[in-house]
Amino acid sequence: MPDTTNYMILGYAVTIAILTGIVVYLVLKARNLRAELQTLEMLDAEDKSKEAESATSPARETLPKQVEHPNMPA
Amino acid sequence: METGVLDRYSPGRTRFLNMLTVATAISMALALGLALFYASTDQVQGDVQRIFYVHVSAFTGGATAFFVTVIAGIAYLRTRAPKWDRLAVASVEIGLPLVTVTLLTGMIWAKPIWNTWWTSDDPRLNSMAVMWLLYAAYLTLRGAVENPERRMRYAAIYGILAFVSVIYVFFVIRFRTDTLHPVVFGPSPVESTAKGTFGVKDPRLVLTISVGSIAWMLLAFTLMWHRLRMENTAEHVRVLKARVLSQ
Repeated sequence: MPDTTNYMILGYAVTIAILTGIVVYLVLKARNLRAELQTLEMLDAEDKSKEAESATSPARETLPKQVEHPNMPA
Repeated sequence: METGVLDRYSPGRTRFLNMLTVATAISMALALGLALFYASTDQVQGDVQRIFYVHVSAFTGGATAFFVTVIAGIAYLRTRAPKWDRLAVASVEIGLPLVTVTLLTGMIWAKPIWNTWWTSDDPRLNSMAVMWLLYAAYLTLRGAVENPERRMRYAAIYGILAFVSVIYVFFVIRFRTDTLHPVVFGPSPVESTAKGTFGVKDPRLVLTISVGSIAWMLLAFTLMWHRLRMENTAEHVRVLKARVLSQ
C-alpha cells in the first residue's frame, strides 16, 4: 500500500481552511453590518428628534420682531 | 439602542437556526471522524482515498446550494420579490466555496494517483472548472448591472441557466469514455459492470459517504440561512443610509 498520508492531510487542511474562511468572512461581515446599522440608526434617530423639535418650537427667524420703544435704553 | 432588522426575526426561527447550526457542527465533526477513523483504508491508493468523503460530499453541498439558486431564480421571475434575489446571492456565495473544496481536493487526490494535479484533456475536470467559473462570474457580473430591477432579473435567468453546468458535471463521466475520473455510483461507460475503482458495497464506505453528504447539505443550508439574514440586514442598511443621506 503506498504512503499517501501527506496528500490526505493536505486535502483535509485545504478543506478546513476554506470552511474556516467562510465562517470568518460571515462573522466579520455580520459584525461590520451590525456596526454600520447601529451608527445609521443613531443618525436617523438624531435627525428625527431634530425634526420633531423644529416642528414643536417655532424657529428663531419666524419669531415676531420686538417693537423697539423709542425711549428704550440701548 | 435599536438593532433594527436583527431583532425583526421571530425568536422561534432564530432558535431553529441556532439548533440547525449546532446540528451541522456535530454532523460535520461526525463525518470527519468517520472519514478519518472509521472508513476502511483503500489497499491500492492508501490514505489519500479518504479525500473521497470530502470531495464528493462537498459537491453535494455545493450542488444543493446551486439548486436553491434555481428555485430562488424561478420564484423571483414569478413574483419579482427582491427577497428571492437575496436568497439567490446567498446560495451562490455559499455554493462557490463548497465546489472549490471539491475542485482543490480533487487536484490533491489526483497528484499521487494520476501523477498530475490537472489534465486539460479530461471532460470531467474541464466541465468542473467551467462550472466554477460560471458561478464566480455570476457574483462578478451582478456588480456590473447598475439598475437593481434589471440586475435581479438577469441574475435570476443566469442562475437558472448556470445549473445546466452542474447537471453536465454530474453526468459527463456517465457518457464520456475519455475521462480518467471514475464513476463511483452507477454503471460506468468504460466498463458496464464496474462501479468505480472501489467497491460501493463496503458498508463502511456507504455509511461514511452518506453521513458526509447529509452533513455537507446541512452545512450548505445553515450557511445559506446565515448569509441570507446578513443580506436582509445589508438591504436594511442600504435603505437606512439612503434615508439618512436624504435628510
